Amino acid sequence: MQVSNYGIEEIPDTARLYYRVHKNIYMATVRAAGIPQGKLPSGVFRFQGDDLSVDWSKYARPEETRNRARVPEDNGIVDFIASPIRADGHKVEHTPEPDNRAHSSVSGDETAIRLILSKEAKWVPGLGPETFES
Amino acid sequence: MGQIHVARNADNEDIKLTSRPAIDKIVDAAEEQILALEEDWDGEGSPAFGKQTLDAIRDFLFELVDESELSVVKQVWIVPFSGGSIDLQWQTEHFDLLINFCDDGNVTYYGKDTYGHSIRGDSRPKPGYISCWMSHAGQ
Repeated sequence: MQVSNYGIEEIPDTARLYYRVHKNIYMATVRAAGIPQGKLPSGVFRFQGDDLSVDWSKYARPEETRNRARVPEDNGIVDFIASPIRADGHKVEHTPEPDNRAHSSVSGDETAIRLILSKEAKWVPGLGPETFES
Repeated sequence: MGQIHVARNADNEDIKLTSRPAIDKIVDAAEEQILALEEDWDGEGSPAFGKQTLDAIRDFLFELVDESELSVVKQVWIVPFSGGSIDLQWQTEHFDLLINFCDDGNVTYYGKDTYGHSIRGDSRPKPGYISCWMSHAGQ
């Protein structure tokens, strides 16, 4: 586990968080499910271990979240607010990393969190699937 | 029995699920797309999908329609997920529901209606239970 010199802060319920969606995952899921353009299927939200890695908007712009990807142009960015996740009993915590002060984690019941985010998360304008190269 | 369910095929057309052949049509369409996904299709090391997982989904939808008391339109999405598992997802005016079928036979589910009433479990739910919950969700 990486140790950060950044202090851990309390993320407010109203905080906005950014999550990166890879185009391969998005395109495969919407094609298979026949999902209308712009909708976000549950399958795009991927836990890494016990949590979902996101960036807190206090310390990151959505473009920065995208640029942290190995191939930024292959990724889109969605955003969501912390409160609907917490309202269902799940955690949204600030977990800064040495090279990313914005890094935060969403943890709890994976199936529930994926369903909630499928409904609550929205594409960030200009960083959605319209930017994916075919 | 007069129930009407609606799903969407790969061309984003509504398909009424009033009979097993209709369910076959929607699952077949998803199956064609999902079984074509090769190992590591998501760049995260997921395996290719097994037909047995889609068969489990097909059986579940058969039972859901057979036992359903629904008279309202529902929409189901069949969504490939990580580790060879597949989601059944509903996003409707009255409720949201996700049932994840793993390739080893394990099932988890979570649903929430517009009033915040939720259901969850880590085993295959009885289709009659899901049907009953759907029919009362948000009311």
